[in-house]
Amino acid sequence: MLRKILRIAGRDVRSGLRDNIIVYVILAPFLSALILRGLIPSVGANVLQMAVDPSVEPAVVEYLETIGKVEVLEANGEALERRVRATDDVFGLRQAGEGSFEIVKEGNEQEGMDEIFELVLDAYVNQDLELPMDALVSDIGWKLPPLKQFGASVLVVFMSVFGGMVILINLVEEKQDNTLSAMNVAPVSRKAFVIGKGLLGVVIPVIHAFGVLLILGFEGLNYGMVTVAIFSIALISVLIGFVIGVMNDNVISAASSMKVLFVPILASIMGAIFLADKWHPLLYWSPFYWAFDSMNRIVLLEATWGVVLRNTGIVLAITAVVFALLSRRIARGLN
Amino acid sequence: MKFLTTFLKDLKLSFRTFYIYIEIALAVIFILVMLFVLPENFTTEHDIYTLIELEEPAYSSVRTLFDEGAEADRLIYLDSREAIENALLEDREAAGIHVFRSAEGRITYDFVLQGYESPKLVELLKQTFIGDLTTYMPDYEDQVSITTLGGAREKLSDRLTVLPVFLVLNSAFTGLFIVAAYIFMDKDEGTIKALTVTPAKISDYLLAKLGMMLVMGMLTSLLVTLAIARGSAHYGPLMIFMAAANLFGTAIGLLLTSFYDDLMKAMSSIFVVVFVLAFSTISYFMPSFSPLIIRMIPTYPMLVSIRELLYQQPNLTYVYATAGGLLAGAALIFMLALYRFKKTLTV
Repeated sequence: MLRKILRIAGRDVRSGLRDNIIVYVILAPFLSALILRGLIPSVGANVLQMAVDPSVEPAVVEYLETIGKVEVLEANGEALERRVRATDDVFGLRQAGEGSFEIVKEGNEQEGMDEIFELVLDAYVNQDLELPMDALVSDIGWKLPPLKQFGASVLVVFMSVFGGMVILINLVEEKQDNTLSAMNVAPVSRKAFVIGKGLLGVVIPVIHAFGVLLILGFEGLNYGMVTVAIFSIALISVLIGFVIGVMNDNVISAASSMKVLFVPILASIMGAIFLADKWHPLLYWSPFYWAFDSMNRIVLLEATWGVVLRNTGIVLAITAVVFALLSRRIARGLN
Repeated sequence: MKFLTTFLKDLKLSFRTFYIYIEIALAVIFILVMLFVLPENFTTEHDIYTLIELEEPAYSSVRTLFDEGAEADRLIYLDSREAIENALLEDREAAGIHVFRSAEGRITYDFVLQGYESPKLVELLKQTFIGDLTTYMPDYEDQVSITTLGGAREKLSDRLTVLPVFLVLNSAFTGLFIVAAYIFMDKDEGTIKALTVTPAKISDYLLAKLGMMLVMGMLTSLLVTLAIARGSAHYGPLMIFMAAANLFGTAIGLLLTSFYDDLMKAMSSIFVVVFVLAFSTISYFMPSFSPLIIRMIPTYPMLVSIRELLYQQPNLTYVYATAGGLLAGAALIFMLALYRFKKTLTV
């Protein structure tokens, strides 16, 4: 049976390589991780972006460059207004007189940033005042930015469901070509066929997870926990891919169903990131939430085997429930 | 006439394949989640863990200043520096303030951060504090004025801020993937090859597909916007804009499809395109990070334009200019797709 399983999986690899889809599915997460790694230093580096016209003195520009990104325009007058009206969040600055400034804003910038800009200019204008207090900044030495933390977890969980989607499209196409029903008269058991079809969808996400985390430069991670967390979510993704694949007779419905599948995945992940803790119980139904929670704790170096196994157990329990509810439907669809 | 026949045939097929029902179901799920599951404002500001280690009356002065400040709701008072650092370990996006008297006897505000913040952000924080302090000094000079070009803007709720993302990625680009599925299904059934021997033109066939996706896109965008934005949106310009955006998205789908023989092969390119298009949402949600390369992705001006139409005073010039650009882009891409289909379609 093992040989038949590997043969079915191997056939899908060869067929996928001919279509290049396997290449894309394998390479896409690593490319995404490389892009994310390139972006991370830039995101959050400049909270305040300013455009100044030539009336502003070089000393002021030098000061502003210590607190944000400064673009020095070449012309006075309308050029500043035009720059401020561009789609990004940029504040304009011109010198209104000796030692006085005019901030120009469009009105749709991020709330509060105009007040911050005003205060930093107040600090510059009144720099000779003797202040009764001192300010200093210290930190606790945590160098992992949120984008890298959440980006890694999002990428790993999201890529884990790709396998399920490839299986979905593959199954629908085989149904349309009648090769699926041919399996009923082939010397391959239903179990071997299902395992062979699903094998790549479970193995590849684990390889992806390792690659993505290494590319992003995480150190000291427990890759055993990563394997367990990703294996469980890949398993349910493969199951969902099977269910949708066998329940749909045509590619259009399958493609629409795949779109619907993105909703709970994205909602679970975005909810886990942006919602306050008190709202998280709303996401407890979603296996993707628990997988994301595991990955997030792993990259924060806070995960324990107890929590990872608990989360994995929940994912597997949901998988078992979904399988139990739909097993007859899957069997009918494979006929 | 032939275009109309093909268009109506595709519309009937959508009902048979349940595609229309799935799209409407997706829109309804989004509405239900946004209206009944999530609150109107669901992003949270993180806590500021605070310690004031001063003797009286300095303690009371600083405490009063904090309690009357704009961030008073976010302050959580702790009793040691260690407690602050432990709290920051628990919440990686929180910050701390530790006020104490230095060895020289001066009151010192120590802003305790995580450590991943950029040097410019750190300096911005310090200068903001210093600037705020200067405003309380007797010799303070107020030499900074603020001019608003477009008039004051109201703040959109989180719910309305998320709405453009759904409209762009779902309603505008509904055709990107689905049109490929339609065309490959026609290829498998031989319908598309029949075009070479019938009076129907390939352009009629492709235009019918555009029309089909346009109907779906407009239907779902109107449904979702009515439910979530209600009277807040400018519906006339919004529908014009969504039509332009949808035509642009479907035209891209047609062009990509013209290069492949089946859906599996096309899927990889479609996923790459979707991935690139979705990237602009980073800058949409984080305006301080909006490099030119991301602002050049078509979905970025789409998101900004739709958000404009949720304000009381939208910048209609920008919206219509973007719509015009999308229509021009759609026309060009459609012509390219038509050329490709004519070239590759043989008996």
